[in-house]
Amino acid sequence: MKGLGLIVFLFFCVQLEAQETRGSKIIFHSQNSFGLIEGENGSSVSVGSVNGVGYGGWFAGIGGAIDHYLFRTFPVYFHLQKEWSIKLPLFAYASAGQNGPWVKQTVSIYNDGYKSKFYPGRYYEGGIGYRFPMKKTSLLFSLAYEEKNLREKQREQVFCLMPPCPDFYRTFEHRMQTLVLKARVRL
Amino acid sequence: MKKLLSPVAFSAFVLLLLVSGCVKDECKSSYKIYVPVYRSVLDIRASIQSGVARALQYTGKIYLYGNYVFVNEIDKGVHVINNANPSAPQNVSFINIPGNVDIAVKDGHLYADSYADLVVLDISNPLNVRTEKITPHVFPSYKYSPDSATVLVDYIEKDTVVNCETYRGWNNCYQCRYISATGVTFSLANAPATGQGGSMARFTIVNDYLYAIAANGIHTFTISTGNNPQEVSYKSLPWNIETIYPFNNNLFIGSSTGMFIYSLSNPASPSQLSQFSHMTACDPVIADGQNAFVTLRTGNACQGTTNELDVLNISNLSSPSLLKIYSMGNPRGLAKDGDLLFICDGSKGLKVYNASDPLNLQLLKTITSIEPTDVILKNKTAIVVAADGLYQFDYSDQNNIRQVSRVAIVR
Repeated sequence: MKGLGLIVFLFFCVQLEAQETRGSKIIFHSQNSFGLIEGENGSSVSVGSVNGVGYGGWFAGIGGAIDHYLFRTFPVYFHLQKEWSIKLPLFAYASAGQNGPWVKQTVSIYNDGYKSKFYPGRYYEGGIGYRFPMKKTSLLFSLAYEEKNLREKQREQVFCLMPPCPDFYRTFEHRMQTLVLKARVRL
Repeated sequence: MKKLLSPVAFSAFVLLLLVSGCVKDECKSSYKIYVPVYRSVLDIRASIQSGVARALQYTGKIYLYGNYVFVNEIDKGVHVINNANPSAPQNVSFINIPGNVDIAVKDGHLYADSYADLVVLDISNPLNVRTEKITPHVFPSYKYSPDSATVLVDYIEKDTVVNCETYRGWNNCYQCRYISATGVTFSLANAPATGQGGSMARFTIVNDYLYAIAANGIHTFTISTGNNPQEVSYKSLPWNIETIYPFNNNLFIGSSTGMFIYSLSNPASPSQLSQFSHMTACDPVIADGQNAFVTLRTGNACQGTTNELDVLNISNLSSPSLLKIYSMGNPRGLAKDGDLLFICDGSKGLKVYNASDPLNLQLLKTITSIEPTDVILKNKTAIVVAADGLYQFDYSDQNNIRQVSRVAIVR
């Protein structure tokens, strides 16, 4: 719940001063986000950025983020966003890409025979939000479903009396499903 | 817009809290379970025979005898590698010995364990080995059924997927998870009388005696008659004896709690000269005239907490003393030729030191591309058994140690 205060602050204290007009030309945008992640195994915060181009009500870009929900990971993804209308700037978006592990390998502090290696998995996010236009920027709030996958291969040196001892391997497929509340500044 | 912001934000936040309980994390664990297969002891003894060469899979101990390298396939038998040309070793046959882990060779007789039995084979023709004698139930084994009529010989692999919580609830059940994990005839006529084992060996031959260590003792057999070993003594030792290394009419025995030196002044009944205690860890040991080199490592099989090389002063065999400790990665077998010390440092690779000054070992080379287990040095060739194959390195020029061959493991 670390980001809760900041999220609430952003929601209730932002000063909205002017409307942004939507042009028909291609414009570069950068959306920088701060999010609160809630899931079965607790909560975390995430920070990220999507950079791309907007045209009409569409926005498409390449993004990346980092969070520490269960594992510290950094998704890299393609992002597509569609806004309904200028008068009612509701939008929906979807992201898909790869979720990479921040730490590639871990060892047990209790047993040097335990090693885990982490490998990237798929990443999805989809949600809806609302854009609050400001003078030169926009502030976007969204609620989304997020799925991050991560593969862990664990190697354990098996106890035996007569070395060399064969190793034991197992694979964990971690699938983390969460809800994400994001506040983004669009530049 | 300001009016809209507060209710939207509040609603989104409430929705997040309300709905977050509906999404669940998942974790699936995939691994193999092993269904035990039992076989009658009589069938096992009848199946000991040689056959065509097989690819190396789960290699264990290595043993050098003349131009041939014997590579143990854990619990399966022995690969026979014709190593007359180290640059092109030939995998020529496989001797099926169920339950085999250790071997030793003398005068054309191969001594091997087969679960609890001691087997003597005539290997003068490795393509047609002949069982000369089986001494039953020398080495107690947990793999036997209570009536000793059957023995656990294998496991059938089954891929299994469970959720992670179920798997972790099984509490690391040992037996549930144990992985036992062209014919070319040749002659051994010119081979030396006795072969050479690695530092991880549990069998060794000195003159007319075969010394075989069990988990908590040394069996001594007289093999003066070659094909008819007779046990002449058994010495109890503390639990978890691991390796045995002969040097200068002494036996250096590595256990998880220390190194023992036994005198062979009476070879039929080794007598303890001294003991050097160390922290609990696996510890192969070798020696030269003045020093013993002991590697300690961690891991499930060892239960240790340290990875190091201990250099001991053994000028007085009755009172070995620690000279220096060198930090290591996860060291296993080791060997020494003159001033060159080879250490199999697990995932850190094969390390070669100049050991002319044991108090100041100089690292000459690290071969990081392999994960070695044990090494034998002979004729300036290092024969290394590693996780992915049997390697040979030419170290005639210590500044240019180079790989000359590899017999790959196929899994």
